[in-house]
Amino acid sequence: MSIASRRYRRNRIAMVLSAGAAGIGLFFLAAILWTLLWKGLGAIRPSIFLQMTPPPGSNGGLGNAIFGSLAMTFVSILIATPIGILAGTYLSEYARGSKIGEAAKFINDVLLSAPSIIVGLFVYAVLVVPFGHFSAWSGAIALAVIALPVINRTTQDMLQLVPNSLREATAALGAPRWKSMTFVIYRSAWSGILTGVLLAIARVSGETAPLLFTALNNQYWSTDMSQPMANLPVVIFQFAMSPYDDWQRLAWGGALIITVAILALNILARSLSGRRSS
Amino acid sequence: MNMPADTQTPTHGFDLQGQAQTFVQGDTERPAKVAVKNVDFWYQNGHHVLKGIDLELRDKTVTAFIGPSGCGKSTLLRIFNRMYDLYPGQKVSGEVLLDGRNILSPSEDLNQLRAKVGMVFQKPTPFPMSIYENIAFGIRLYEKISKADMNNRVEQALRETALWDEVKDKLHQSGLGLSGGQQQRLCIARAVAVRPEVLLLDEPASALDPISTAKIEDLIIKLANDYCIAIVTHNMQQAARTSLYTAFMYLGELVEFDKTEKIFTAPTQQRTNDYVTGRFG
Repeated sequence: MSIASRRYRRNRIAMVLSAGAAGIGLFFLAAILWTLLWKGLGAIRPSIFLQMTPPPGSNGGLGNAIFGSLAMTFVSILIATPIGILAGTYLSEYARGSKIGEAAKFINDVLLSAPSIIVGLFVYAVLVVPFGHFSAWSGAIALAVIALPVINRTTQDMLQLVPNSLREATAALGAPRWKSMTFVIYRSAWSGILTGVLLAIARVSGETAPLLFTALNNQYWSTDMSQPMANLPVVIFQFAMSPYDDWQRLAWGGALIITVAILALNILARSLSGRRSS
Repeated sequence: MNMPADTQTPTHGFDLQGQAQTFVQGDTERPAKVAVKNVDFWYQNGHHVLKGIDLELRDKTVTAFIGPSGCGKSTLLRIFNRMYDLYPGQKVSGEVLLDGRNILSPSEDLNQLRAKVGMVFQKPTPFPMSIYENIAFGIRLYEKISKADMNNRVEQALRETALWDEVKDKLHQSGLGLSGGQQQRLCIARAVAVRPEVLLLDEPASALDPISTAKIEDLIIKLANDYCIAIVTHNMQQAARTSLYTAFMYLGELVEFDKTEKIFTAPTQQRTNDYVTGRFG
C-alpha cells in the first residue's frame, strides 16, 4: 500500500471516530432536551407562572418558586458581581506575579470547582444554625459564594486579553492608574466581563444542593427574605421524587422553564462575546 | 549661531539620492532640551541593555535612533518618559536632564513628566471611545475647560495632525473604526493635545502602508516646529527624510551620533558605515 493511501485510510478512521464521539455527546443532549420538551411542554400554561405550589391532588403552579429563584439569584449576583470584578481586577492588574496574588488565583480556581453541596453546608453552619432558621438571605449568600469565583475568574481572563499597549498608551499620557482602569481598560473588557456575569447567573440559577441547606422551601407565597423561600431547583427535586402525577408534571414544567432560561442566558453570553471578537 | 533660534526656519531632512537638498543644515543649532548622561539600563533578568549612553536631544528638532533589533533604541526612548517604571525590577543608572532637571530621580512625579513627554507607539492604540473622546481624555487629565474650549482644543489637535478634514463629520464615532494610518495620526493628535514639550515616536509608521507612512513623515517634519522629537525607526530612509540628527546604536552602545547627513554620507565609524549601507542589520 502506498504512503498516500495509508494516510488516506488513517485519516478516514480518525474522522469516523471523532464524528462518532461527537454524535454520542449530541445524542444525549438532544435526548434530554427532547424528553424535557415532550414531558414539560404539557405543563406550561399561564397558571404555572401565576399559581402557588399546590398540595397533592389539587391544581397549582410554580409562581412562588419562580419568584424565589429570581429573587435569590438577583440578590446573589448583586453581592457577587462587585466583589468578583474588584477581586479579578486586583489579581489581574495589581498582583500580577506576586506570591500572594498567585496563591489567591489558585485558591479561587479551587473554589471554582468546589462541590456546591460543600458551599451549602458552609453557609448552613455560619448563617442558618446561628439564626436558628432557614432563610432566603442565606440561600442568596450561598449562591453568591458559588457565583463569586466564576465572575472573579472571567474578569481576570478578560482583563488579560486587553493588550498591554493600551495600558502603556494611557500611562504615556500621564493618566493615573485608576483613571486608566475605569475609563480605558474596563471599557475595552466590559462585554467579556458581562459575559462572565451572565454565565454566573446561569450557573447559580440551576443550583439545588446549596439551597437545600439554606433557603429550603416554602409552600406559600413569600417575599420575606429572612424566611424560607420556595425556589425552582428544590421544588423540582421534591416534586419529581413524589408519587403524585400532578406534582411530577409540575416538576417537568419547572425543569423546562429553568433549562430554557439557562439556554437563553448562554446564547446571550455567546452573542456578547462574539461581538467582542469581531 | 548668528540669528536667535526662534527666527530661524527649522531645517529637517535631506534627500538620500543627493538631489534637491532644499534644507540648509548647519547654522540652525537649537538648545539642548534633553541631555542623557552616562545612562546604563538593566532588565529584570539582569541583562545589561544600555551601556554608557551620552547624547543630547535639541529642542524643535527631530533626532532619529537607528540600529538593528535589540540594540536598545526603544529601551532608551522608554527611559525619557520613565515608561520602564510600569515594569518592576528594571534598573537604570546615570542622568536624564529635561531642561536641566534629572527626571530619573525617584521624587519625579511621573504623571507630570508624561504630560511634558508624550509618546506614540508602533501599533496604533486608539482608546475604545469616540474620536472626540480619545483626544478630550488626555486634555481632561490636566485641565478643566468649558465645552466650547474643549471643542476648539480637539479641532486644533486634529488640524495639527492633518486629520480634521477626514474625521470632522464623524467625531462621535469610535476611534477603532478608522484606518490604521488614521488611528496612528489620532494617537499623535492625542499626544500633542496635552501640549507636551517632547514627543517620543517608537517606530510610528512601521505598521502602516506607504501612503500613510508618507503622511506621518510630513507630520513629523511639521511638528518639529513646535516640539523636541525623538523617533525610533528601522527604516533608514525615514530617518534620513525626517531627522536633523541621527544616533546609531548597536548592542546597547551609542556607536555614533551626529548630523543625519553626516551619518548617512560620511560616518566615522566602520559599523555605522556597514549598517547604513545595508551590509548588516
